[in-house]
Amino acid sequence: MNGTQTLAAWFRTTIQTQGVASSSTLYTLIGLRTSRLVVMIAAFWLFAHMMHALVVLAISPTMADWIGLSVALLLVWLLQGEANRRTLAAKTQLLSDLEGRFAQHLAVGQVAMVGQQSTYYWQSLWLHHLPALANWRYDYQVQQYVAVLTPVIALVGLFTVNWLIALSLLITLPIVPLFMVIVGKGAAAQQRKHFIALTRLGSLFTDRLKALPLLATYRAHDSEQALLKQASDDLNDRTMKVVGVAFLSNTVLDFFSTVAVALVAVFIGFTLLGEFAIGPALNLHYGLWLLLTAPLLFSELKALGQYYHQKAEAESAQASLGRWVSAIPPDTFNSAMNKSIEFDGPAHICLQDEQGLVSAKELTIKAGDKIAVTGLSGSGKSLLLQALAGQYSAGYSLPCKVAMLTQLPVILSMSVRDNLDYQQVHTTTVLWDVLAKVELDDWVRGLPQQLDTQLTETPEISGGQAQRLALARLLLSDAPLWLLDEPTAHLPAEQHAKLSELILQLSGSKTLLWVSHKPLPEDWFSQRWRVKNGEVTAQ
Amino acid sequence: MMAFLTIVLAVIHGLAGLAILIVSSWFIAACAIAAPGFNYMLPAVVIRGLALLRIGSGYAHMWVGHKHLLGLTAFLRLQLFARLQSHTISSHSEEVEALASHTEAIAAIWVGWVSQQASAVMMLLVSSISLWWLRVPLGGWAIVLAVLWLLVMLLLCWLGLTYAKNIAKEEQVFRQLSESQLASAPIWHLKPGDALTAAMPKAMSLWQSNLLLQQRVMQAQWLFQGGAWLLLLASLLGLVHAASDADFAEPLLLIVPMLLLSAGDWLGRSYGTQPALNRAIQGNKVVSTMPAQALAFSQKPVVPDDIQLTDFGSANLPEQRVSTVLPKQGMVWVTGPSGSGKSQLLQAIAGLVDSHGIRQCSGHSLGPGLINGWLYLEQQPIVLAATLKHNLCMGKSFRDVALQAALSEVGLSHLVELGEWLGPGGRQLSGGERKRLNIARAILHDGPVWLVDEPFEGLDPDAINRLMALLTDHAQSKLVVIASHVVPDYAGPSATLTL
Repeated sequence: MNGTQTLAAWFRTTIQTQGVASSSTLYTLIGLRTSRLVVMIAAFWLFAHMMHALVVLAISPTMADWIGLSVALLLVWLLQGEANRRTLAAKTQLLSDLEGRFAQHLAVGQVAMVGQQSTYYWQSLWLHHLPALANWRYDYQVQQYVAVLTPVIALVGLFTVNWLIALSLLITLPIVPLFMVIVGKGAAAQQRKHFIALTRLGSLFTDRLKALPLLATYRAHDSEQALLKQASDDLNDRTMKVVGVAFLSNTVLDFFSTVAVALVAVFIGFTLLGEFAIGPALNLHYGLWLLLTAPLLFSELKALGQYYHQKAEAESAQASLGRWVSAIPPDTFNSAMNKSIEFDGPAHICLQDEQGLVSAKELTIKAGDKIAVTGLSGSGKSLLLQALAGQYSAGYSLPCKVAMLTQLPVILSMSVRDNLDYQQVHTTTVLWDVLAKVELDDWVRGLPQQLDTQLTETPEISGGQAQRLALARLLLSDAPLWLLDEPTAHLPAEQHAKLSELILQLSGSKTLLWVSHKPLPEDWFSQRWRVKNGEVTAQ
Repeated sequence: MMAFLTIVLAVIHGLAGLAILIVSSWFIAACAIAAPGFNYMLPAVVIRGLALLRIGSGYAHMWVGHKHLLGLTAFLRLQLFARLQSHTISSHSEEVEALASHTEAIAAIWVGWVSQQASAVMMLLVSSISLWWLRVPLGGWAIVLAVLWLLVMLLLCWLGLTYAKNIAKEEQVFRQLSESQLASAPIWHLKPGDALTAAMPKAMSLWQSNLLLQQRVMQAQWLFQGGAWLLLLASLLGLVHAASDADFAEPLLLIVPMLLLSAGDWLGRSYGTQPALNRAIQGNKVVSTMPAQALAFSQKPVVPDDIQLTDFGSANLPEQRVSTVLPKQGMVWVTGPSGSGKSQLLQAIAGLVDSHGIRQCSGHSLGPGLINGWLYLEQQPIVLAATLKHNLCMGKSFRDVALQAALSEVGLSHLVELGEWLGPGGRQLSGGERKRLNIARAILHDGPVWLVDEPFEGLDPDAINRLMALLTDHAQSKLVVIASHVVPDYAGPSATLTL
């Protein structure tokens, strides 16, 4: 992904494919909002006409005008309701599409993707970033178009009634964005000037909350309290300097819209009085209509300002989401999800990732091979396994289903039975059989509800027992190939030896790739691979 | 005071905007039927004055409102921080992060909700009263409008608060569920394809409850807009069928229809602030019910001596019963598989977590609480977002020479700039550097007991050797207790406590 790609371009190329977030939905919303304004301008016309009759001609307004106004206002109201309804429907649809895409990426990337970031990071994607994109698309972007279209429509109307007022507004109109840009640059400069202080001081509060035990150990709470006070005063002063300028941008818009309306009112009044004789003749009908329509030049731009924060939020969503909301071609996805449960070998491995963290050439796995993989920590052993499993993208993945065992076994807060039935439901006999194989049957028999005991905080399960339970899960899997990532790393030496022997014995005729720091007997293995600086070689 | 000023400015801003609309429409109507001698200069000046007032008060409201928001946020945070003196919070780090936004949401209620409502109420009150006072034709309709606004507002608030509760609940459910789903990522590959995509975390129901609130806010604005126009049409219908034209040709006649026509613009905004109220209430609830455990400080001076533990253990682990004697000087290893409670035991000895059993020093029971100078060195040491010097001094003062000596002792002499900022916006330390900084901190503060939690995890062999030498050296003069799931071969002769 290109880092400098703008939000709109990124959205178009990454998200707007395969019918997601179609432009027609966007244009429908813009159409609804714009036609609402056109009808509103018509309603102003009828309203002004009625007022003209009442005040100038001193007669009752006609029923035809009243019916016309009723119809126009009703139409505006219905268009507004429809636009509201469709906005929410479009947001819901987009969110559901994005969630589906993201789930596909998770399903393919699995632990190789999830492990890259904290749970907090992933949760923020769901809680903040995905909704931010939906809001930006259907509030901000729609408003952007409306804010451009409305002044054009209003100006066309104004020109037909009074070219002089229209012309003078047309001249002021470009000044508004110009001033806003100038002020915006000023605010950005202020922001840059204080950037480092704002970043440093902005997070002090949560930083110190997380350090409470440390502060207690060193009895430094009071000194930190004083420091926080001083830091927040400093931060507030600096922030005010930045926002003081940033608010000017809002005020510029306010200035032009308010002054324009005030001056239009004064001009119309004086023309009606006959003080001015410039431009076309006016009456109250035209004058009031001009007064009501002129603010439309600015009002939608102002509304855009209220959505402005959505742009910043969507930009941070872009940075966090990156390519995780792009479409995965259905073929790629299906083949990743439905792998063969047969491994006839031999598989010739040749892989290389983009970052250059792992690479392998001329390695071969035959069916039934037992391969030991060694290397220093951080040399890329885990990445090799994730690449072989197809979770980490490195241009190659094994053609069959695999089952993996990791350093820290995953024990779900569910019953023993549910933990074993993770892949599919098995009969009780099968479960007991497997538990006997991993030598956990006695332990499970001792649990209060045996197979149906919930594995929450209690009963406590030791590291060795947990790894055996995970091994049982592997035995229940139909995968022909096992990838073991230091399954005994966290066990004392004695347990390491016992469990390793059990793993080898239970793996039977399955193909095995075994990453281990700890020593394992030479004669267990048919091949030895070594990983050094990401490069995997056979020995 | 600032809050009051914020509200006053918001009210002035709102009223000035409304007044411009009313005065200018009345002005052009008056001009259209100007009687001889009509003083047109005064209203023209008033209009321009109002415009300036609106612009000025708008900027001032934003400025003062923001200043107040920042000040109040800082105040609330400091108050919370003071309340947490000698406490620990057991929340997840994301909940701690959330406290920052919660305090801001509480402070934002003034500028985000109260001032908007106050401005709407004042606009309605002032227009109703002045219309009645000036006997403006159709003035009664403004009162009906005010009632309509209030009814819709009450309805929205009531619904909004119900939804807010629901949203908070949904969010909690999502957090819990997604956390356990993400934690099981290492075994996702065992699931068959379709079952796997179905088992991914889903936030749709949370989003839907959020969108429902958005929908209600929009509906409230829409409903009010429709109601106001209905009032407009009703009042105009009365004029269409008016029996006599006696009251016509009166510029004041324009005012109420103008108010009703534009009511959605000048009052509709007040409904949009409903989420700010929800956030403030939610924030208040979280901040006031935040679980915090008090930490006791043992005030007694403790003379360094042997430490006897009898049936001792962390209160979080009722089965933990350790009976041993820790010498005044030397190195003691605490080992055992992960999950056996090594870290808990160390924290219990330091007094950072509650304990059961007896903790004695030179025969005297120590009772509960943190002992001054018994330093627990975390597995993942905390480096404060502050200068290097601040991180080392921790509220005490040391000479720069002493700081530099401690840094070079732990092999951090490459950090020469004591005023260098560490953390966000400054230098990021690696895991190994953090561990060494933590030890430099302990060296400076010279406690008699160091309780070191998993110091070797994630270090390369060279670094382990250096660290080991350093710890051995300090064990000459103090007690160094090391929790580690493996005892390195190079540990040399020392006591081992296996859990």
